[in-house]
Amino acid sequence: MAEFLIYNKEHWMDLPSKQRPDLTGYENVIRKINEDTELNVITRTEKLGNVFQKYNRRYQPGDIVEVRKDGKGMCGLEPESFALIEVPISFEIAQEYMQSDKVINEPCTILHRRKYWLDISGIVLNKDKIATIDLVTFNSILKVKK
Amino acid sequence: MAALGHTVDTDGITGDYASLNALEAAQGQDLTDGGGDTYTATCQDTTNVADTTGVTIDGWTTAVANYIEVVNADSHGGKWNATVFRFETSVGGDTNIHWINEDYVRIEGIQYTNDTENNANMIVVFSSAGASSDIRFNKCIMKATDQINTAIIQAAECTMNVFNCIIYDIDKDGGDHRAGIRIQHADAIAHLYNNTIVDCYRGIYDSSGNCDVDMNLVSDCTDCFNGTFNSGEENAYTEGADPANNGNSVTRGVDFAFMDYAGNDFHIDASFDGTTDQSGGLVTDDIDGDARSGTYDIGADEYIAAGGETHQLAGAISIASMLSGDINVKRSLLGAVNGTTALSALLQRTTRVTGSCDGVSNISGRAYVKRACLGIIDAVSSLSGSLNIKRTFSGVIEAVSSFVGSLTLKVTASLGGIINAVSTLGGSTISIKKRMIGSMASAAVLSGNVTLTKGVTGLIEAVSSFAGSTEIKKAFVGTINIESGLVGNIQVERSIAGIIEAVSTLSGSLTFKGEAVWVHLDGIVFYAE
Repeated sequence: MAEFLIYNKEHWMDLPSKQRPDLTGYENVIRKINEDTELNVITRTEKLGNVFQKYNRRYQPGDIVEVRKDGKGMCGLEPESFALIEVPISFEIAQEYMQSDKVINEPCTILHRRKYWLDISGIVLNKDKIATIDLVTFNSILKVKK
Repeated sequence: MAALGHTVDTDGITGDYASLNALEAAQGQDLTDGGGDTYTATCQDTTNVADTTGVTIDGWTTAVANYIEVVNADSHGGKWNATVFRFETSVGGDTNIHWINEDYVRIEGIQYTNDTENNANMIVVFSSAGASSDIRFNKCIMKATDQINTAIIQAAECTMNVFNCIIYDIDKDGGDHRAGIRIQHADAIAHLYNNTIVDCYRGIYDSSGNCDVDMNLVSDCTDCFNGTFNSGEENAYTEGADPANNGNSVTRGVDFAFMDYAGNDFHIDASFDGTTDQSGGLVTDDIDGDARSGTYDIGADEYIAAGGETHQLAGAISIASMLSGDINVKRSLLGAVNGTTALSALLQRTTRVTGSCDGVSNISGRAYVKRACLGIIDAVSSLSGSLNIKRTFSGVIEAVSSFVGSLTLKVTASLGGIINAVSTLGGSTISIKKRMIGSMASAAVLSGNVTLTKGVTGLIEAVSSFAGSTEIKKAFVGTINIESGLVGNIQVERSIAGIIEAVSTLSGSLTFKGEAVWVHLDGIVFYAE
């Protein structure tokens, strides 16, 4: 049995900003860059590009954050952010689903979070945010990022 | 502005998160959004288990005064230490231990190894914020045993500062791109100060031309320095070329020696002077936390002669009569604090206590331990001070006569130890917010209030009477055992699988809101909701 730690909340970039609740966190970061009079056009363009890429790389609900060995479970504050999906496959096989989704700039490789995600919207979690599913269900909710 | 932060403990019980990767995913935020916050991830391994999951630091918003900090709760002591927090990965190919996309990140005291044959870089610095960024590594240890590309590679246009780090065994027989530290991006800016790099193919490899290397000790590499450096002052190297015409070609064993080269202890065994601070103020101490002043030693270690200043206290402080001052230790307290008559001081700890705190007559001071307490707090007569432990407690708190008065025990993480008073354990509030694995026992009276907000697997026992209130908000699988009278209230909000037993009387209320799996009541009227 392997345990998939699944991102199970909205990312701060998609939620209302503390500073400007009328904007999302992402929109507020964009606003601050656009309103920064110290920036020249080139720097501003670069910063906006970086934020755009960061937004695309953000964790989203269903992302496989990590794979844990059988019985490790969750602790402390983890249930506030994650769900734990127990699947009857080996830990070694499960780790394959943690691979990144893009490779650039040899010899370095960028980790754009994870290639795979689980659509757990139809999975019933217990009070501790944990569910055990069979292999058929796992294969049906396993998705590849596009 | 607030200093935000949470803990990682690889035991999967004690910390807020079981891995740094999980913490990073859960806590990602805009640190500039609330008026200017910093965020500190404090990492520990209570059960000596390594963190094996790589971490991409990305998806935050940081700034000069709003940085992310990753610190080790315990000191590794300047040598690889498998009993304090560390990353140990065995993944190959393109996976790294850290990929840092954020612009302001500080990593201090963390250990890294990847011991599987692969072509990975341990840490990739990929922030593209330009010169204004600040990625720092201080007092870290990085090692490998096989085909690692680099310990740290700076692969984007940013500013990186590496100081007081020890790096060794980065593929000495490898190819040109194998290095302890590699500055790869043409517009990268790097400041490498007071590092010790040993047994790598290339020690420091700079292809940017914007790298300052000062007071580094690079030894036993195939080529200690390679590339074009912006500046170099007081470096020491045993092979290869002079980094910037200011270095010192030296011979290990003649000009300097390590404490135990074969055992990978790269402390120096005598002073190896360079100049004064070349780091612009970044370096004020060494990998052990020993202060640097005057003439700095070259490399990560500042030599301290016997009897000189030390950072770690591994022995005991023994006071024959009275200790009324404050004891404040910022890192590990490994020895004993022992007062033969009175211990009335404030004992304040920032991280972990593994020794004992012992007042033979009485302890009336306040012991405040922010993190793990693994030792013994012991008073032969009375223990009436305030004891506040915010994280793991797995030691013993014991008062032979009384354990009364204003004692407040607030354990917000797990309690794995024993609280024991031979006569009375009363008047106190004992609040344990996470799991209790140990026992609370009083030979005479247990009259305080006990609140446990998470699971209990231990023993709560009073040989004569228990008159307090016990509230258990989650599962209870232990034993509550009172040999004479039980006049308090016991409330379990979730399932109970343990035993509650009163030999004579039960006059309080007994309430279970969840499922009662097994309850043994000896001659007692029982009402279940």
